[in-house]
Amino acid sequence: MSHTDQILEFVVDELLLDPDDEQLTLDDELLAAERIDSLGLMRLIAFLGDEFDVTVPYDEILIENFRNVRTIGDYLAGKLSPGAS
Amino acid sequence: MLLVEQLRRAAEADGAKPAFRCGGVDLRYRELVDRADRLAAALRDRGVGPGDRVGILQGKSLENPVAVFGILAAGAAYVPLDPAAPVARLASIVADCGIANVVTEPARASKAAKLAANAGGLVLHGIEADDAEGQAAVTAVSWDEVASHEPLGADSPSVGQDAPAYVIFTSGSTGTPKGIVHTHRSGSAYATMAAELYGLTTDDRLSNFPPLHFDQSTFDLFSATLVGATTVIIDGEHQLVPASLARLIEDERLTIWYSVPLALIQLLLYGVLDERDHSSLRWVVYGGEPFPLKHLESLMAHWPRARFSNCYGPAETNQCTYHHLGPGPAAVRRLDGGVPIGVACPDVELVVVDADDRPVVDGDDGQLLVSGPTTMRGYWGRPDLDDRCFVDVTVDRDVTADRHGDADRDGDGVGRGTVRRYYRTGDLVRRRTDGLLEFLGRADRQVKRRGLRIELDEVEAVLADHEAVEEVAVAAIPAPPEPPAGVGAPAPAPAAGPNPDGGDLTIAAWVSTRPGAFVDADGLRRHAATRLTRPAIPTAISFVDRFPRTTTGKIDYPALTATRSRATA
Repeated sequence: MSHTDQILEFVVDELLLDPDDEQLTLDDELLAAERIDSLGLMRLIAFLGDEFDVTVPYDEILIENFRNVRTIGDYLAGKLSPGAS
Repeated sequence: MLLVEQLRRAAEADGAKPAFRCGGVDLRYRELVDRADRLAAALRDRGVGPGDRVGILQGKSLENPVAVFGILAAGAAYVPLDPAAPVARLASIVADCGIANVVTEPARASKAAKLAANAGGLVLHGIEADDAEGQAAVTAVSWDEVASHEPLGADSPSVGQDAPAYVIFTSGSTGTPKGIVHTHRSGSAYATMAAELYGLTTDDRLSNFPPLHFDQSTFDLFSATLVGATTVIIDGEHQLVPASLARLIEDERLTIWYSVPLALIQLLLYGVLDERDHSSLRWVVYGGEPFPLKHLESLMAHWPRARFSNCYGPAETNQCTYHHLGPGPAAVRRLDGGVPIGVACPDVELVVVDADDRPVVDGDDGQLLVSGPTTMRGYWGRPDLDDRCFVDVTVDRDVTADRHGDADRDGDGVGRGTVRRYYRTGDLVRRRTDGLLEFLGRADRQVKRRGLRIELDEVEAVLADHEAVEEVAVAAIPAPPEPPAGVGAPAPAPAAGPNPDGGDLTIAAWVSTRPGAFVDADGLRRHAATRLTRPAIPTAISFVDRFPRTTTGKIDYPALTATRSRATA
């Protein structure tokens, strides 16, 4: 399973506020459409730390990084790529 | 002045000026009036007129002011519907208010359609019928169709100053939400007062942070349009992401901020403020709950040029007191205890009374009563509640000086022995020797979580409705913020409130079940979720065989909460 798919599974299983929302796609807005709340966002950041051993500093918790599952996957890939700080 | 007339005047003065901005897009005064007048015409075509109510089911967007002013231009009152509330709760509001039309948006189409089905039919404005895919047939009036109407403009129906302008629903202690009715008179009195108190001008750029169903949203909607200022609507994404919000405040050069303390605490803790230039801010206004002093002091150090204003007032009265602080954090260090709620706003009369509604002397605790032009007309369709919350008090000049040493400032002749109608706030206060009011707590069982009012009696009433429940008790317990495991990053969202650390509240329930009946905690939470807004749903549910009792046979709440504290310690 790709990292992006793992994130998608976590978001669908754990974070979505509307339980009828299981058809979530990679490009569906998470924040703008209020599919997750602030606690969900913090749990997602904790998940990235636990699962992939990355630290997310406050100044990288930005809309452009956490807009949807695809941007989160891209952000994670950037953190995990060789040479990333 | 009618609220929509304020907007028309501002548009005549400078129609090209942005009235609202969201996501970097401008809505100019001229465009807003035009779009509102077309919506008013579309609503009139559907039979809406003076005396009617129209719902708004929207997240934060530029469509908010179009909906608000369009409904007002049609002569009707708007009723904000919380997009996060359960459909059944919204349906009860729709039925209570006799709402037949709702202004919504594509992102809420599915919920709007469910609401329409539940309510036995509604006309939904602002979406295409296709937007509500998978839902039963809906009657939709798209924005394109709205735009094809000739603007109502001069044909806008005339309503009186005492006609309802908006109805805001809040937690009711019996298990049913209650609607607070504000008129054009009370709404515009508040806008005028806020504009005066914070010296608003056309150059100001205000934040609009609270959702429409939260009374704080009227501060910027109506005071900014009164003076012709620009309001920046903070969308859902920026509400969730503090570092992006901090960037937005800088980019938009906001001059006035208004929100609950929680939003400011999140900015302080996670917004990386050191990297931002927020020197444009001249007023930071907060209300809804106390601001923990350590966070307030830190924020004032980050924003040394801004003055801070603690404003107090239930949704029923709008803001009725204020206490200004700063600029600079030294003001907080000089405080003895918390920030006072201060003194009465202009034209507001306050009196502190004992249990028999007799004014107390300064220094004694009592309930705060409020009278003034910004007070609501009453609760929607609830004369029984009006009878209980309004009280005629014989005021005595010595104890009702609206400002310290400033008796009968307005020369209205209110003096010794005058009878005046007051609203009971249910809040306990004390007037200090320096004339400033201190907030002490609630006279009843209402608590605030993330700025939202929760009646614990309502939570109990909803849980007690479950068929398996025999008896139930609900309490709010301070919950310290717990950082999620495994990250060097933020703790979960802190919430200001009675918890001095700025921690959240846990809504805890204790339940006994009927013999032979069964329900588990998840089942009870699912039941609660059909009637209550999310912050009110108990997160901790304990099952008990019997309740601790006081000597009079009542449930002993302190004994119950003590068991919870021990269990979680």
